[in-house]
Amino acid sequence: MDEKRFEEIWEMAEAEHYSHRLAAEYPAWRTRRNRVAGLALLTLMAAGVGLPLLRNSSLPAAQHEGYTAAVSNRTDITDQYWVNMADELLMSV
Amino acid sequence: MKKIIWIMLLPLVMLTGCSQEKKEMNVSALYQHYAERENLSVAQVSGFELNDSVCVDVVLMQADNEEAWQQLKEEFNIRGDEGTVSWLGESENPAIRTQWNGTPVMRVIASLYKHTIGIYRIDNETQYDAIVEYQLEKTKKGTK
Repeated sequence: MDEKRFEEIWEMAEAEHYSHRLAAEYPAWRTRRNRVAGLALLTLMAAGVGLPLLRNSSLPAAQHEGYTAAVSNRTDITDQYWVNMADELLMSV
Repeated sequence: MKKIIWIMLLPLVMLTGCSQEKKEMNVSALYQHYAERENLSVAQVSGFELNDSVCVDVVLMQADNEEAWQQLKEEFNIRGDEGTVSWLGESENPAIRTQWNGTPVMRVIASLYKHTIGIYRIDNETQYDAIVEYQLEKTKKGTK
């Protein structure tokens, strides 16, 4: 029986409140169920640890040139326009 | 199986939410104050790089019409119609001229030609020095 079929049967058993009995009668099923749940938990933990690290490692590349972030009340004006303006004003003094 | 897929997707969804939150920037009260005006184009540039290690936050405002510019000039006590004026302003009210005494101040630069005002937040001496250095370096490069 493949994992998919196993899950289908387990879910059907759960829906029928039959899973406890099934597990009691066939301990291997509970073991298998725990193994699948354990794999899911491991995936969860790995994602929880790995993805933030991955995200942080890619942060410098995601940063903009010459500034970190910009916000404006005009959507038709680009961030770069304002960054250039900040530069030009400093130069003009 | 569906449950497992959902469990696996959950951290991704949570992390996506976190990263969205991280992208949000702290918008200053100064920006908020002026951004509400209809006849002003206003922006806040956070982390404007002065050199490899020093950044400042800048609020820029550009008058969309003459009326808006006159209002800005009055509020910031700007005289004249040409050139560029610059001063150190108080952090709470950049229109009020002050001197550098080690506490946070604003470097205000107003271009009368462009009808634009830039307000650079200076929190420490390093930033103060870096702005001066930036201006000198850029001007030097410009004249070469």
